[in-house]
Amino acid sequence: MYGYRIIKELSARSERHFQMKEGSLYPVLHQLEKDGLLTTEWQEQRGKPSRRYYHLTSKGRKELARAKGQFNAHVRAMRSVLEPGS
Amino acid sequence: MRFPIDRLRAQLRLPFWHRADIEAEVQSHLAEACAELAQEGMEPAQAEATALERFGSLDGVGEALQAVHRDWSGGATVRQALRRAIRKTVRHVVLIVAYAALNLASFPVPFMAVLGLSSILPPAVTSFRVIGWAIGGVMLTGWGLWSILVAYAAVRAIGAGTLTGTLIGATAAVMVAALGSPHWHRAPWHYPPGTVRAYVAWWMLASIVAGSTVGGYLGARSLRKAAVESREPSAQDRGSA
Repeated sequence: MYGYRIIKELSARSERHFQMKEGSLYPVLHQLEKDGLLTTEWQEQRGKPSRRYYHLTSKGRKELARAKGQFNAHVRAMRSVLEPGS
Repeated sequence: MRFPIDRLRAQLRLPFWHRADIEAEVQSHLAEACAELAQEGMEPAQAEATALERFGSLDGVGEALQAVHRDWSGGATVRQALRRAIRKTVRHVVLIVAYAALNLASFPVPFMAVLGLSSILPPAVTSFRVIGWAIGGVMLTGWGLWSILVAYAAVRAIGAGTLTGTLIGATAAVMVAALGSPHWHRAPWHYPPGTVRAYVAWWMLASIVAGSTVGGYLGARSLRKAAVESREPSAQDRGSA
């Protein structure tokens, strides 16, 4: 996915909950790329500016799985606190 | 359409090719946003202003990107490349001196092989270790270990499959054995059986055959492993990025 598409997806999937300044995404993507979690490639577009696509690396996939697990555990813990017995 | 992103550019103290890459990405983002807004019926000038407004502070984004790529300031990458080149040159000089010191008759062949090896091995296996193994292999275990290294390098350079690599190694070993070597003086079967020289010659032949076969197999296997690791991510993975 490329930067602009990521922003749109983030907004759509969160039902517009995550509305952020679009430019703030790029430092994050560049940092992830620098950490080896993402790779990038430029793709030509006919009659439009080229797009820079980001792909997860195997290290990135592992990190994503780890972060998802951590997040889910956190949500479960919060639910237990806020809704005891549910 | 070119968007005025001078404020972002001003924050980036990076080499021009790196800066151009970032600028192109931002320009592409703004163009996409602008086109979408225009499609929704907005006037071009208004669409441009809105796209810039939605993007946020160019100063802030530029500053954050500069912080991410701060290693570039002062040409750290160029320095690193220079250090690598110096290390490589030193390594080659050490190799030449080492082989000259050993005064091996077949100097050019093993030298080229070690040179090849030092350029293709993964970083964890340092070239100096390889040189150590090669010299140690020659001195301590005859030609066996040496053959492993040469076949490994050859197969990796050729890019052969596992079975083909093993066959190449074995064939090379048989060819070397058939052609003889400046160190053997004579093939093992020419020495009187039971003599020390015959045993040494047979040991050399056996170690070359075994070593080349194992080296060919290992080289091909490492290539296959590297190919699997570098495979493009699947469509599903792309979707999750």
